[in-house]
Amino acid sequence: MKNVMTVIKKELYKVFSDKRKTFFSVIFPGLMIYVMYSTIVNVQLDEMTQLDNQISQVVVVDAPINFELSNQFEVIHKEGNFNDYENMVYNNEIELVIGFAADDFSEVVSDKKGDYQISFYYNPTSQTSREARENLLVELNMLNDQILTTRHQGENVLRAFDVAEKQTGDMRKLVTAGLASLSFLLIFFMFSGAQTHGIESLVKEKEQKTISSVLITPIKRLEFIVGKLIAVFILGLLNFVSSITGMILAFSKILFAPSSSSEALMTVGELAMIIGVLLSLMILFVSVIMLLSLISKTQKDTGIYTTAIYLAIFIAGFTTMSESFVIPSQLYYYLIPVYNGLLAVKSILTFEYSSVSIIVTIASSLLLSGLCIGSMVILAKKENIIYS
Amino acid sequence: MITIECKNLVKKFKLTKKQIKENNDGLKFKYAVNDVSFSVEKGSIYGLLGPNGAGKTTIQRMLSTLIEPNQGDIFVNGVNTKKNPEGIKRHISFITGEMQFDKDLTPDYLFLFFGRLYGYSDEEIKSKRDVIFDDLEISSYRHTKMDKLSTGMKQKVSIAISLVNDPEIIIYDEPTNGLDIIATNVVINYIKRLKEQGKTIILSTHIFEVVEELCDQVAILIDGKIVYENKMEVVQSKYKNLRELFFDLYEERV
Repeated sequence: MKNVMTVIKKELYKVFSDKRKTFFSVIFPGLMIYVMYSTIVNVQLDEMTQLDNQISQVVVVDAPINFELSNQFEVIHKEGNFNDYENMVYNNEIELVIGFAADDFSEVVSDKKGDYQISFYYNPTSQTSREARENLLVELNMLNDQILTTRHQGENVLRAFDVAEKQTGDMRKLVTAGLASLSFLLIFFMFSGAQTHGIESLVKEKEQKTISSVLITPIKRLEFIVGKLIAVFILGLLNFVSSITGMILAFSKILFAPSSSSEALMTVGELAMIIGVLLSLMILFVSVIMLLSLISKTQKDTGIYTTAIYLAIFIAGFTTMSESFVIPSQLYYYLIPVYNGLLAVKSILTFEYSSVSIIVTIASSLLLSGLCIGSMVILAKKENIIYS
Repeated sequence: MITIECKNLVKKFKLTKKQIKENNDGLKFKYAVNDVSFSVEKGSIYGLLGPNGAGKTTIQRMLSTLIEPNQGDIFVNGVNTKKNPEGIKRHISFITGEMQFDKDLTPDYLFLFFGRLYGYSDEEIKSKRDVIFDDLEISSYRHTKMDKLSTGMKQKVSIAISLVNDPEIIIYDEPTNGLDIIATNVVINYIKRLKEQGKTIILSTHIFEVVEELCDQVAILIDGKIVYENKMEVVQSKYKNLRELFFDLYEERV
């Protein structure tokens, strides 16, 4: 155990005695993610604010004398031919062009005209044009209601029933649903953290022939490998914590927005389950990467092998990313490495988990890690592996 | 008194399919060391002389328990290395130019790290370190990372680290390889001092002058076999020089 500690200390010293390495191992991942995601969040929030405060520029052709739009619209032209303005909508110069039929609009109000048409062009590729369309439809519906009320001289004729809208459901999902769909990012960052240090851990020692100088001492090969494994785990964890902190800070504007609910978002048990799943996954990632690092002849080889795992995480991540993805209840899904972690984290964040599936996930990740470590123990005895 | 005894050592390496095809002799293994036996007296310097690929380094790696022989036994102070490799390692140091140290670490930290692996306390290591570093004139660059040091400086650091466990036996692979004349002189003088301190040294080299200057006994290796072994004083009395002896033997074999 003393030798294991000595190797761990050396590996951590290598990183923390070098300011550049410390920055890139601990601070940079979080900083990078913070800058990246806060930019995305800010752009989206700005867009939402802009849309909320949007004043759409529109052209209204042949409008009746009394027709008025709300202050969400700025009417810039009233003359000309309706179709002549289509290009302006196409080129995003205006949001809408609204055209009224040439017929007398007063006849519509007085119930003499039933097939009066109001047309408009909007551009579905433009978000502001889409938003203007939504607002226009609301206003036209209101106008429609007003006209019908005038025609029939009484509101009751127009209303068959009242709608009472009430909310139900687990309101916590409103906050966590977005995070759940991003759960693959959590796992991706964990792998990335483990990979940063694990990829070169053993193979670099072999490549640079530093392994012989260590194994000439009374340390056992297994102690050396375990020491390296724990050090990579610690460094990977720090990298992960940094990434998560960056992510939380970036999303803080959304996550910590003032809420009317004073209910705790998650129970301690649920939080413990997430940590358990993530830790077991981290152990698995480190074990797999270290095994690959041990059997590889060069760092390039390890890089190629780990790229394949990256791809697997991406594929598994994208399949579970959609909010409409239904979390399976069959236990065998929770035996599939990595995929089970994604399912488990997502199920906890959407409060649709079963404790058994979480236990199966953690157990299977730990079991597979054990197999990897066991393989390393066997392989470490082979001279062609350790000195290749 | 015999410190090291090697009996019928054999080490063979599996060839790749490509190598088997290239050799065109159908053999699946290459014998790096083939039935080698020798013994080394306590406090002496034993030289392994031979061309590249003769098996010198492989013998030294087996002696240092880095690799195991396929056949045969090595006894250090009468104890078989297979039975207690970790225990044997406490008495042995292995220095080789091929062996590298972590480039990101300083000589200071490396000495501490290796000292800890031998089970010494940090205080013990630090007091040893100061003495050895002063002795080898390493102190001025003790806080410089290894990748910034010259070959000669690195060689001195290797020697310093090899002494952290105060080894009884020092195995030295190509001690002057890649060194300039100044660094070579430092290393040769240091090996002489180690001998004076009663250390047993096994050094491998392909430089005749190094053997002539330092060794008490020499074994000439060709193709994994010892083709000649004798005390240096006998060699010097019988032959004009080691070079002449070596090439006589080499031409006979080839």
